[in-house]
Amino acid sequence: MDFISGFLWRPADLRRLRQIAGVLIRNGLEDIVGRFGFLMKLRTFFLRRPKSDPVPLERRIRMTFEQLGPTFIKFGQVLATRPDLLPMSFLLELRNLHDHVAPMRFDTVREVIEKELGKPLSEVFENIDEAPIASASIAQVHRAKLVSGEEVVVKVQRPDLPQIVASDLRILAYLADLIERRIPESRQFRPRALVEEFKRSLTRETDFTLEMASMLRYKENFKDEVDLIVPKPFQHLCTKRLLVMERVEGVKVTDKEALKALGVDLQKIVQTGLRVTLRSIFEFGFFHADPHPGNFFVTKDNKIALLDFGMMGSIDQKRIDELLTYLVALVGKDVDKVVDVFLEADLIGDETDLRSLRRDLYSMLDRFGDAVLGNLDVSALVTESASVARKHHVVLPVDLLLIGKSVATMEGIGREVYPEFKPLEAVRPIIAELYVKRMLDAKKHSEVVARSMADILTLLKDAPFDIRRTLRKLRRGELLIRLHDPSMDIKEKAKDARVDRAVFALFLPVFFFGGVYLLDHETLLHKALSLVSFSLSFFSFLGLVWNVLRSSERR
Amino acid sequence: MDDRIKKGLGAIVASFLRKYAVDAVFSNSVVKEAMSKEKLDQLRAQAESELLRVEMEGDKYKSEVIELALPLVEGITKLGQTLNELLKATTKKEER
Repeated sequence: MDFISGFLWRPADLRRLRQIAGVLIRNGLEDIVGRFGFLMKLRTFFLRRPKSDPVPLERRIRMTFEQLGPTFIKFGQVLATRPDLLPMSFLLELRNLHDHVAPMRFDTVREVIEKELGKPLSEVFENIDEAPIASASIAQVHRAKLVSGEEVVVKVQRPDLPQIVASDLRILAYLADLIERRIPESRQFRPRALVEEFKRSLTRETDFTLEMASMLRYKENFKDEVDLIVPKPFQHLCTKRLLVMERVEGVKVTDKEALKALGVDLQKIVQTGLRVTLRSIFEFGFFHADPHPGNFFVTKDNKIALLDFGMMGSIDQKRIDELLTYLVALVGKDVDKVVDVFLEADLIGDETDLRSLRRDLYSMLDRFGDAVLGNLDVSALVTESASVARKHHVVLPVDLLLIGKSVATMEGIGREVYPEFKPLEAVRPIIAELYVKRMLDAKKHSEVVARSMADILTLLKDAPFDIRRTLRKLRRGELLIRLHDPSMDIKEKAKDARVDRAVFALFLPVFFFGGVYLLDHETLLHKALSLVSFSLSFFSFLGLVWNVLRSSERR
Repeated sequence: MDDRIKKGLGAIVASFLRKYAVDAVFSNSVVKEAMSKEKLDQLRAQAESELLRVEMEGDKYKSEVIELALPLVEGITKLGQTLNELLKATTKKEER
């Protein structure tokens, strides 16, 4: 509430909100705007778009995100990775979201760099290309050479980004709140939680010191992987808005012609990519959450260079175990084990019908199991698993979906670069090896045992105090045990309705006979009071009828 | 945690895994079908030798861990018994 009132006091936010409403209406989404209140409904009347051009809803939503700018485009791109929330047609459309942002002028780039480093450009760089090699809504990238001689790339954040993002995030949070309150059918998508999660991820992505830390961590994790290059950041030149890192010469993994010209071993490249992706998830629990093909470079000595560490995912050891067990169960078509993993990970709500969930999982695995080993579409399996989960109210954790996206992207790259690539054939031995190593990892298991021992020690240490406190409360009669029986709520409501009915039944004759009594008198005042009394008796009658009808409806 | 306890605990866990878990893991059909016989044998040999190494490394500290763990086990058992008695006494009092 504080947030909303805070929001409403900002004229710029109000202007932006009006603008958003305008874009929504122009794209034929006036139904949504209309639900936000009378004023908005009025606005839809004036701005409504002619109905003659039937553009599919999915495309209209995609166009809306594009017209609303960087934050909304990013939000749409995040939504595109959520098969647990949106149907396939929406995901496919949102995957086409692109930001059309004009590159920053070099004067602005220079200004940001000098402000961040606190010294003139020429003191740090021997030269810097004025034309960017990449430009997006958050930052743009330039080639440069340090005065110390190293070839580098410089990632410079757009100067007005923090203000735009902050304002848009406020509005998104406000809209999510409004949508969740006003549009009940939206609640299954948990708009507020979704925006909160997006806010966290975008805030991380706009702090380049965090990206630098991620690069260093990834580099350390893969120090034994000779076929992977993680560019070295120049820590003394990195700030929240500036990232300077080693330049890696190579070609984009999707540029087939350039790859051919480079003469690299495509099978090896794909295997390295897949191995790195799976190891990052299952060995280190720290993975690239935005692995689009543009972030993979191939060097002439058959190595993969990974770029852009702005969006990283991490999972804890327990989740890695669950996930590995889940994958082994999935590959082994062991549906009971899959459901066990869901139950143990507390992903299944009370409303899930386990028998029906098992049936759908069987049918899904049968369909995918029939595919020839090498032709299995991992990406389709991930998407279908998510929609089965959505159907049965299984709340898949976001990290799991990011992992799905990560593996599916790598599979897509593999198929494109090396068409003979057989995803499952490649994934199986890697997963099996990781599973064996993890299950037989004495160090990991002994850490779990040590933690349990520490827990027992704490429990024993606290026990006398806890027992004494409980006994004291028991003696004083202060021990409160809360029990909730849903059937009691229904009984309470029925009791309330009975009380209401009794009140109406009592007032009805009182007002009616009061009216009859007053009618006998000649004065105008008595006549007026009699009219009021009859009216009240009429309303009591209506109240009684309404109450009876509502009670029978509830039954 | 003290390094000796860490090593001792590692040795106990490694010995348990080597005796009881290795067979179970390598007889999993998904594992068996994912790799060639040679690769499986190689992986098994690697896993067993690593477990043996951890076991040897912490062998001399195992008794220290047992010394530490036994009172904990005893303590948690006694706590359980005390709570059970307490619960029984409270229930009886309520009944009266």
